[in-house]
Amino acid sequence: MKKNSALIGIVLGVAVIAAMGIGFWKFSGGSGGPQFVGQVQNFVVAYAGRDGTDVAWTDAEQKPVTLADFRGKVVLVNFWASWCSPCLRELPSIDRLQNALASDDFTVIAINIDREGKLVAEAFANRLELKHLDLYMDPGGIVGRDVGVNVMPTTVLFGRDGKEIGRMEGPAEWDASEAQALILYYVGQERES
Amino acid sequence: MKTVLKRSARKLGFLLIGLGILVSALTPASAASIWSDYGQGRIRLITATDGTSGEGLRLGLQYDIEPGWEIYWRSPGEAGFPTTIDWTGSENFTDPIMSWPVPGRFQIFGLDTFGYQDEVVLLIDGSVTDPDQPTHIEAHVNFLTCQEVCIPHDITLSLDLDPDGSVSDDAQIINRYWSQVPKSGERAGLNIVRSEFVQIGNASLIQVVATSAVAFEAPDIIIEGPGAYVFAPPEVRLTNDGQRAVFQVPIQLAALQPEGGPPPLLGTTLTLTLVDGGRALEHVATIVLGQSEATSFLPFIVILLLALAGGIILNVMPCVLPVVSIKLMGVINHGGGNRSEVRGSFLGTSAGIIFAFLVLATVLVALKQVGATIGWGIQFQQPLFIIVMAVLITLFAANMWGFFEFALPQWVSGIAAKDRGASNPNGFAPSFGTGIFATVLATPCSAPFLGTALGFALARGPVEIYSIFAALGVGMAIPYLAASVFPGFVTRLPRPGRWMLVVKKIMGFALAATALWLLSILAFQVGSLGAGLVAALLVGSLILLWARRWNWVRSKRFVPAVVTLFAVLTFGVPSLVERTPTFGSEAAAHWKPFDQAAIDGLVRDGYTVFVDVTAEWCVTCLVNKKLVLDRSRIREILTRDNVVAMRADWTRPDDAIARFLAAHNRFGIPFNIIYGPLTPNGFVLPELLTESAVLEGFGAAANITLAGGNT
Repeated sequence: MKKNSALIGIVLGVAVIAAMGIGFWKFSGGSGGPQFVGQVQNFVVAYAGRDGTDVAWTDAEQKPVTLADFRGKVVLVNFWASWCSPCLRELPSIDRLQNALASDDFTVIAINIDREGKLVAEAFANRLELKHLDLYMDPGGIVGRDVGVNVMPTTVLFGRDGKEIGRMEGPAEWDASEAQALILYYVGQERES
Repeated sequence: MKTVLKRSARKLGFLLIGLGILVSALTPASAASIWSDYGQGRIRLITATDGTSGEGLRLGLQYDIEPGWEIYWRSPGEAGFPTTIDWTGSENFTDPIMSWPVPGRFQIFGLDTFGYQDEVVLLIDGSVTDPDQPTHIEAHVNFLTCQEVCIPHDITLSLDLDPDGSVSDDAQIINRYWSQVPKSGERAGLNIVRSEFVQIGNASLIQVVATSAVAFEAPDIIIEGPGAYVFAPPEVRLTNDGQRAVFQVPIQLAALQPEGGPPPLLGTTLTLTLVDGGRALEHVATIVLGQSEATSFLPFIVILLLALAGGIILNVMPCVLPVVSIKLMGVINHGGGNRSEVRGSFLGTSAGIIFAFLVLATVLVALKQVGATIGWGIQFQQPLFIIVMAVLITLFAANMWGFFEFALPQWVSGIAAKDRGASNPNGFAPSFGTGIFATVLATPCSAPFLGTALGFALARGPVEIYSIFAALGVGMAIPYLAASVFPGFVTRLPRPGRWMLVVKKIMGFALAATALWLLSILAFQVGSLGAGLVAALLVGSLILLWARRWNWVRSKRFVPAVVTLFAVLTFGVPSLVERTPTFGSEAAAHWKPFDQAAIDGLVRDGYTVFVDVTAEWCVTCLVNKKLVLDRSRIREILTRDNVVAMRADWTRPDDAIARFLAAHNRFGIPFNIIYGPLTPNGFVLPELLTESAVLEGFGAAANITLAGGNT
């Protein structure tokens, strides 16, 4: 009896570990799920996706813009500032990502949060020779607060419904193949659903 | 996972702040606020006294920063923002002024930034309104910290201070960081000598020259100016045993430009922070036009090539031509001679030249060692040297005219007369002597490239002096070396005949002219009486030698003895004859005597000062005068009311002039420089002047152009 219960314990233990392993394998993309590797290894999936639909910032003409304007698209929102070296470093790759992936299903939005607004944002966008990104500003830092941005740069991926899929803090080469694959994974998954 | 931890740490931090405010409210008076942890470090307010003490109050904002994280200086560099403090809510505390300890230079993602790592105390000096009342400090601190990411923070610190405080435990750290705040004026042996706007090709630079009483370790310069510009990390070169630093800072346009484009840098005021280890100096400077100290940035090999080029060019400078003519004569005498002999002859001359340069280098190194004035051609400042040269040249002339037989004086060759080689002007020893002679005569001629190479060499140590002088020697010897490699050019010359005699006569007169020129220099040095005496002795010798064509003279054994006596007598002239007024060559009235001390004042008063350093023995100077400075167009500018023309005469030794040259890294003449409102540090002109170079200099110095504007 004692032996049996010990055996059952071991079997149960193995079963639990195996289940966890399979779960982890599935989760980490072993079966074609999202792969958090390379440039996007620090991407964190949001379990209870924050709703970003009503968050508003402005475009180059100071007109308000919200995520609702992009409903139906998966949107990658990048927050940057002129005082943030890592932001300036990664912005060209975000520009190239927009060039590579922008479509009816996906777009990139780079929001500058400098207090001085358009003047600075435009100057640095020109300096970095950004060609494919539209100019968006949030000089009051409202979007950052609503979306919960504490660290610069932060890049947040929103689904077609305006709910946060996940985010990454810190810079990356966003046009790297693994980053593109991750984005395309979510673009494809959202299309199915 | 990491970020989650970070976030909870931050939350913990906020909790602690809340607690801290509570605690500090309960504790009556302390010298410091509690630490506020912000996740990548912690921060607090400290004071040098544990209460207020009189009307002044010095606070410290102390950062204890996690490894690798940076906070920013008042000028963050290419990215970042500095700490700002809002004092709203403070009571009995006004007029806070922040002082920044010397920052470090950190590269973050390829961007150049200034800030602090590990620890810093920013200093705040304010006033206590009523020293008898308690003081409440509330600091709303906004700052950015960056590493792999950037995190802005807003943290409120508070501190209550009672009157009658005494020195606290934190006084020491506050004093330590206060001592690291760069102050203005000459400090810690540091001094900023010049700061200038310099153009090299299409590139614009800010050039800063700084000196240090002790050798620099790792000097850096930080420039703060109009926001429209970004100043890249400097290129630094140390000279003068590491006690002089030349910084060249590339200028870039900032991303953000004011309307109407960037303001001109010329005339603008910049704040320079000179940093070397723990020492620092702050200096506010108005940027004037300058010239690149490019030589300090040239690799040594380039300097050697310049020296080589300068040496080659020396061969066509007027000073050397008489010697070259002697050499040519010897060669023509042996026209059609055998190749190996010609080869040996030219090798000998080359060796003589290089040997002479090495001797010069040795003399200069020795003079430098004892701190004496050094310069190129300064032996021409010695009357005795001039006389020896005049005697030698006169003897050569007599030889060319056929007054006596031997080609070169025996002592030059150092070989006994019975040696077959010595009686042959193409033998190795006489050729060697010719090389030495050519080099010594070449020194009053400064040539293009030569000045640059010499300036570099003489400002440095023995190794540089020897190698550069060797390069000069090789350069000057190159034509002779070439002739020794290809003797065919020489052996194919026509055989000597009657035409030779004519050529020799003409060359004799060329040498006589050279002797006259030397005598004219002597006249400037010892006066016309002395020069006249030497001339008389020389002419007397010539007549005696010439008279030897008659047997009755030749038979007199005393003739050589008298000639020798005359020669020896000439050497004594400078010490026997008192200096008398010099005849002729009165300088044009518009040239004022050189007065270095007056230049600054004149420039401040709006004058433009042209300085010409010259000497009677300086042949290139003479060429400059005749071809440029005395021309009507340049003369017109030099005689204008707002222009002062100064002439410094270096014919005789003069320490003030030598120091003036050395200050501009020059050791030879001609030297011409223009001081004007736009170039208060001077605008140096090339050695060989041209009208356009002088006009360009006047344009740069004071926007002075030709009258009428037509050229």
